[in-house]
Amino acid sequence: MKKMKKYILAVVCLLICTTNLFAQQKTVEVSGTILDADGLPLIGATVVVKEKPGLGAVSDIDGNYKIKLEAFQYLVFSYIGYDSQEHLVKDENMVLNITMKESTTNVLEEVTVTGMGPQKKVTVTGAITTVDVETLVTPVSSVSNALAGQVAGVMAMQSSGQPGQNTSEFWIRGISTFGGSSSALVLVDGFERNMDELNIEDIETFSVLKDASATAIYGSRGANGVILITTKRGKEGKVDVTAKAEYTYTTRTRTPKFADGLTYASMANEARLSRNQRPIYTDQELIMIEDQLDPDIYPNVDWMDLLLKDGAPTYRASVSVKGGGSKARYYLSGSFLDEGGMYNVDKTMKEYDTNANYQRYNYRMNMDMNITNSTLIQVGIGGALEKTNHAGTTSDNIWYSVFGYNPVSMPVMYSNGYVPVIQKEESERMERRYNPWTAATQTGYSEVWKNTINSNITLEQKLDFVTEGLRFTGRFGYDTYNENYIQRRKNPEMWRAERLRDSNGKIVFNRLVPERLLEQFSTASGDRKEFLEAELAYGRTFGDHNLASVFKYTQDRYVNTSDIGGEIMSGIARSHQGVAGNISYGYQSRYFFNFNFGYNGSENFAKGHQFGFFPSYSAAWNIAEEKFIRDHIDWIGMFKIRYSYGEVGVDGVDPKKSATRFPYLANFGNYNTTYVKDVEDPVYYNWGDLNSKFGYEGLTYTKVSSNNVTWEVAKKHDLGVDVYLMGDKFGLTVDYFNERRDGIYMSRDFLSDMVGIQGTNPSANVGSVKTHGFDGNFKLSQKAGNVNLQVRGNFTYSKNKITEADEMVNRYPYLRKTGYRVNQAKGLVALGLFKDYEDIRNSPRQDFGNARDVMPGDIKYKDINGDGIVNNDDIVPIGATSKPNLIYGLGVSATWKGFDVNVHFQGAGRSSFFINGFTVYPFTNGEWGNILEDVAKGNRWILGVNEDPNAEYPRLSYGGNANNYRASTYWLRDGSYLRLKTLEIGYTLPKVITTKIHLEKVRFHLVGQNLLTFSKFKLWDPEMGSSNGQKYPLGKTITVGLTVNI
Amino acid sequence: MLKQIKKKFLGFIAILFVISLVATSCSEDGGYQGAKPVIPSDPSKPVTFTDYSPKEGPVRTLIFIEGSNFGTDISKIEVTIGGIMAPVIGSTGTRIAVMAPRRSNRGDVVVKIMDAADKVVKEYEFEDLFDLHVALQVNTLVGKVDPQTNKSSIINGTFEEAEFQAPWWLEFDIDPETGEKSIYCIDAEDLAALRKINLNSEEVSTVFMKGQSGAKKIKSMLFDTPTRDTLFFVDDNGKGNWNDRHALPNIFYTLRRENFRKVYPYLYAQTSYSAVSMNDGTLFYNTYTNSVVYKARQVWDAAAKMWDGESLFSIKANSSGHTFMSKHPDDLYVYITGVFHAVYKCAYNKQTKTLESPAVHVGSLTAATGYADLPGTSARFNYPRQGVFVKNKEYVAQGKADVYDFYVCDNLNHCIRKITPDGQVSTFAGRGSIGSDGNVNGWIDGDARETARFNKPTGICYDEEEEVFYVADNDNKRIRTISVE
Repeated sequence: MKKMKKYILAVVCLLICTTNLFAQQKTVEVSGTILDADGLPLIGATVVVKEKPGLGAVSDIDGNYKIKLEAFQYLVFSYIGYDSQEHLVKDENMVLNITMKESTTNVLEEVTVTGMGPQKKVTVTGAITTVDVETLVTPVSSVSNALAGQVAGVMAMQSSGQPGQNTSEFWIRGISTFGGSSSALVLVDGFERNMDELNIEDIETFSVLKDASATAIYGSRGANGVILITTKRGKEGKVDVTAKAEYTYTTRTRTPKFADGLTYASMANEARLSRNQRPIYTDQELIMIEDQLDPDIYPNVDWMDLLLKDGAPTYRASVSVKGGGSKARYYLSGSFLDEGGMYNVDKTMKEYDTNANYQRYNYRMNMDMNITNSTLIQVGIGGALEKTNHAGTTSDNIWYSVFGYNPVSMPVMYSNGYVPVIQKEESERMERRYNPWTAATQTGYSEVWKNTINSNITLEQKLDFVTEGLRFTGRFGYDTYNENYIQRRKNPEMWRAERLRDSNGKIVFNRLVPERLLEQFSTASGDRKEFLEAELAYGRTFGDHNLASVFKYTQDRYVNTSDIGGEIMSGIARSHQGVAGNISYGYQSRYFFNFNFGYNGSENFAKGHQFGFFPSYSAAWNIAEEKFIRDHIDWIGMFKIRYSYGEVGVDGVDPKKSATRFPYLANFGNYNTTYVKDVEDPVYYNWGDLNSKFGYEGLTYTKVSSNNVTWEVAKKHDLGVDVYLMGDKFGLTVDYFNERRDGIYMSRDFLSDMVGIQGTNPSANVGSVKTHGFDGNFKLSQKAGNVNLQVRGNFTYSKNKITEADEMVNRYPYLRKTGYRVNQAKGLVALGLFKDYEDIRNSPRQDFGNARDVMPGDIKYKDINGDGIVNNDDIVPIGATSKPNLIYGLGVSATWKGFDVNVHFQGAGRSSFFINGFTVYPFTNGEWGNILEDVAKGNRWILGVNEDPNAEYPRLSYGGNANNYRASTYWLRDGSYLRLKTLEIGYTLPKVITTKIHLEKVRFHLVGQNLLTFSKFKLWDPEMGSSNGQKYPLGKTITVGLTVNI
Repeated sequence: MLKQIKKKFLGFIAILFVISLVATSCSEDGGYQGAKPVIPSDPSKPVTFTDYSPKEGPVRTLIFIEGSNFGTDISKIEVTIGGIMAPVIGSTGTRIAVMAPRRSNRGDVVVKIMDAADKVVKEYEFEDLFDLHVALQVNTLVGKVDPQTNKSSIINGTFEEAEFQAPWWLEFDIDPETGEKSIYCIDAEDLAALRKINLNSEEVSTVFMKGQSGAKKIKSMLFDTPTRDTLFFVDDNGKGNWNDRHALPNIFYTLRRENFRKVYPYLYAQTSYSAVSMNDGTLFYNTYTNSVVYKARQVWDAAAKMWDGESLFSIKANSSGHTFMSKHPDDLYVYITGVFHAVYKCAYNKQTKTLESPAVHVGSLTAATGYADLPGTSARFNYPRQGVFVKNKEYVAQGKADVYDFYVCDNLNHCIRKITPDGQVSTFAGRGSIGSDGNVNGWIDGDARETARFNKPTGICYDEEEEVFYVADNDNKRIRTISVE
């Protein structure tokens, strides 16, 4: 909080500087009343002097205003929802009564931000979703978390709730390749930047470019769709200061629940007995556990409860200032975010913080200057400072051990002060087996400090003197990013008691892990990005004909600046270069044609394969502007049909992985085991005798060059319709898309050994995927009395199918990838549980583990190929993919007087995932693994008690069961869910009051996020898509906040 | 204007401050709060006793004493069974858990509850006597280990203070003159010291250290038969090739009249791991290459002027490895254990004084490891080491030809296996106290099968008179006993 105060004070100082620039001179006084069309006074309307920011007045309760200003200036009257008016003031005092007119927005005038800059919505021929930024501004820590169910065409999924790592993965129109990257290009102010480092409040526009014609201008980088974000800029007029503060209390949506100690122990016995093994706990030992007579040997610990707090606080604050005159405008903002971690931290450890905390400071300054009447310079600097804390060991290790430590295995601490541990530390990875309390509080702490600076300069020169409508834009961007990581690691000495006390009643301790004194490690990494763009644009209207054209040259470089190691390759900049162009023609707001192209080069292909030309075409017909419609059906505001087709190239090589760079180059190395599968001894030529080794390693290819690799090409079709009815009361956009990716870059894994390349497989353009789907959104606004009601909805559905992949020939087509979705879930088909031995005898043999071990209550599978044996040949595609194929959102918002309510539901469907792991499969790893309460209390098969062939969990077993615990429909869960993502209630103080305290607007708000989740799957949050639930759970939050405008 | 802005900001900061106060006032309770505090019995209320259960069981049985107002501080509770202090494990105030103690021969159960000042508040004797069952028990004889570091070294002294580095091989001995019983122990594989465990004086001493012996890696030892006045040590001298057979001794000897203190070379041959001395004085030893067994001093090498052994057979064809031989007390057989994870059996021909080719008696034919109590070649072992023959009185009564059972340390199965003459294999002791972690090793005394655990036992010997087994529990660094209590 202290830091935040400092920050706010700094902003105040800045304000003082800016306002000081404008001192007052000789004045005249103007007064009057501001009324609306009905003659009622408007309270809180602003009156400012044009080009004199900071000088202005506000109308009072009766609509009266009074202002002093220099002579011969324009006064600007404005009020939200009304058209602004300008009036000239001469050199005498005067009374100026104003009647404001309500502004009417015309659909035809609505603006969409495209790759070529802002464009009237009606002229757009590509598939572009423009997002109402207001709907994104919710108390989330990163922008990506606000996307799911808000933006048509975007599929998003959040898989962790850990502060600093709780961003969402997202895909535009789903995943359409299994080759390289499937993630979208995100451009902030024109350059590729990380969306999650942005302060949401700084966003001015947010659009999603979805089809080939819209993304063509970005060439190969836009193949997976593009997100365009622009940040706020200053506007001519009065200084506008907005400050916002929020406090959020975060709890969890769903945390897995585990059985208590006694239940665990009894079930362990049940598992042993039901497989004819000796039970683990005697009846007396069960009493010891129940009564906690010997908490050292027979503990009963609820690790989840011990580790996790009920909730954690988050603080958020932001301030922004904007204003300016006709010559120069500015926007300034700063924000602060402090997300608290969910772990219980020991009170004794004030000195250092092992909790998973995340702090972020954002700042941004955007300046626009008109140097001449035709030259505009825009300068933007933005940045983020992030600090993440976590315990010395990783968060994943902590979750792994919370799920692994059963309630009776270990006390939190032995009564003599020894720290317990379950297993010897045999390798570095064994840190994963520290007990959760030790892992979270006793292993030291780590700090990650990230620093991003984005800067860009834009020069816009109108070239009307050459020919009217010609414009040149040059953009230059320079971003740096640094990450510093400091780990302070330690751990106490750790012990495990012998299973039983000795004959004198003493505990026998074995020391398993020696003490590690505090050590320190640090690493740093960084990168630098340089962008350069030159754009020549031409746009002119000749009567009914509208012609526009853009040619653009882009280049960018991405360099790792530190921690690049010894490999030369990782020090080489990753560069892109391309030329793109667009020509569009429009006739009478009715017919539109568009041609785009991108000509791109990639560093990853050999000479002759480097460059690719990718054209796209689109056309639109706005039927509503046709005379017969306009004359007869005037309630249709816009009815536009769009179609686009285009090709986009992808260079397929994941830019973040150096291993796949330059596939056309070969590497040599010594022939050793790394390249030979299933051979343990080094392979070399032996010059000695048998059993007396005297070997030399040969030289071999460690990477075979792939000379002919070239572009992966996406052919995209998009057919869309935009409809606006009754003014803009109802708006609807629906798109059907169809995409085919050919030549997907992949490794040839099924070459014959005769080729002699020993597993160093080359790559080639082999795969092919077809994707099709729909996306769309609608908006309905209605005014009923004093209530303004708006209903919004959107959905995205996408389905893909692999049409070709590099794979083995298989006599069962269902075993192949071809013909099914990318990442299709596959497994056996379960037919319930075996009823009795008779049932087992009469069923096909199940060949997993020892077929004789199958017992009644074990899972019965379907013999798909009918060969009488159930084995891996009977694995078929089941369910869908773990990433959702359908995302939808539905929101209702209403305003009434000062109150506003916003309800937003979000859902995902068409996804399924397997649950597995040691918590779901009871006792698979013996003592390692908690037992879900659902297994303990739910419907499970129990010998002689509940022999239900349709039980949810099969007959228990101890130490795993090869038959039951494998991917099958039995363990496949439906990942669809519907949740109340946002519930927001706001109250804006009436103008009467705000005017009195000299504020423009004061709004209180209360926001709940993820308050309700409906899904078939109850064990943990289905959105995470986790197969075992071992993740930091997603947050359920309540936020109170305050926004003040001055 | 400026002032206004400042004012507004101050107001804004004040609001922020209030919000933050609200936020932080939610105090953060939770986390680990330390062990539960214990309280003694409340003196203002009566202490009552209702019953205890179970009423019978072997040593170490958990007994629950029911009643009220016992307090939860176990240092204020004393329980004796048959006059012997029983370890109190815990108390909930209404239930006390105690463990049935060793060496108790009466069954009277007496409970004393004391107050905070250690004054006895109530002493109570239950009417029902506890019936202590007789059972085969594993106990710890000697071997101190530093609990802090889990380490031990060669330290002599009484049974309370003596330490072993890692006891490996045992030979039981009764001194023919004094009748004193003792165990000779090769401490640590390859012999760091020869230790003598005197069972009469309950003391451990060092006979000689490795440096005094001149040997390389002593793997086993044996008394010569039938005189038992010489103790042989078999040395893994590292010379596997036939041509190096005269480079180093493979067998050393010590003499009883010198208290086995001075070590002399006895035989020069290839590297060996064990030897057997038959009742007629014939000596056999084994070697690494192709696991060949030799009969000692058979061939005169005129050039070297030395006696060489006569190669008899490979224990397992084309397989080399460490093997250990044990002689049947009646000279009927030699059993061979070791790296082939089986017990091989060779008949001894008393006429020709040679060993016949071996066959797998029990265990794997293909040197597969595992743990299975099954007859003959279905049984599985994991590095069986030293074994000992024990006369079975039942067989004598039945008039069988072979009246000895073979007990062998199954090293990596952490147990003692019993092998009958007709090839039945069972687990005699160890692998008890089934735990949730699936481990079968550890240091737990108690019922031989139900409770006890060993940690890589390697050596075993038997006191026929007392019917006690002594086990060199290698990784526990202790000598354990197995006997009926």
